[in-house]
Amino acid sequence: MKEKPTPYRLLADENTSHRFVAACRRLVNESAIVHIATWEDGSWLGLDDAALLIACAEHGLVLVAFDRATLPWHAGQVLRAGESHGGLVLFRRSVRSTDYGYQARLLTGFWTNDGEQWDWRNRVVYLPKSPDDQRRPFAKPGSAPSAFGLAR
Amino acid sequence: MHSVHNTEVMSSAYVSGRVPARYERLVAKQARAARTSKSDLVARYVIEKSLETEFPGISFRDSLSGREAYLTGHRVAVWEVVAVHEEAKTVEKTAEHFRWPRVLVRRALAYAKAFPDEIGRSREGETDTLPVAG
Repeated sequence: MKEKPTPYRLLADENTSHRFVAACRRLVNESAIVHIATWEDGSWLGLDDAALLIACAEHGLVLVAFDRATLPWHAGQVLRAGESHGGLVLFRRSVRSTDYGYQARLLTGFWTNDGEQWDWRNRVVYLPKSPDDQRRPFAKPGSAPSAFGLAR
Repeated sequence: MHSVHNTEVMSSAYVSGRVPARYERLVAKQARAARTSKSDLVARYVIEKSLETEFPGISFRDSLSGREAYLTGHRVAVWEVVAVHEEAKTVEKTAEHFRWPRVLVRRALAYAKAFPDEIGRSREGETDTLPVAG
């Protein structure tokens, strides 16, 4: 019998706020996202980027973070080393660190419309697609998913 | 490998010291792995360890733009704390953002105040979105 694939969950990195996670949980299923400080009693906080990306792949977690060029660079290094990462969702610089509501709307809109169904292994997505897309994230349910950039 | 502090543009001084031979071999091996000279690696170790002692709670790690200061035991770089503080305006609100004790924010800001150019370079180096390589 073929096993049903385990659904992916979102892991918010430490450069995101608990307030962002709380805002997401008000908009989608609470179990869809967890902050790294509370995941596994915070024991993953000390992991470097490469170790975290590999651990996420092992646990079916998609890492959500603010875009640091270093993080996708490490994702590339993980791939070149023959490992896999569990996927990355990166907020572009146009997204303010403290705009928790906007971050939550961007992420949950994308996740509900598309991301939840995807195979996330080694996939990287930027939210929104461009700075021009700021403040127009998934305004209408069912509309074309235009507010994200994709790289794989 | 970039240094945290660019010794090429600042006045430099000579530091020497004796270590057991096994540590010399260890440093030599690490220098080869990092594709740098033993003296440059020792200089980096001296600089970073002395800064870690001077600024408790600050450590250094590799980043795309070179070595960067971050909060020990956490995944957040000093420049990221500075960025949030610029938006939040206060230490209290910044600490609330990360759900940290205020002392961690103050430590990051103290380091950033002491080395504004380095923090600015780190921030700038992380700003450009990198095409993903596989």
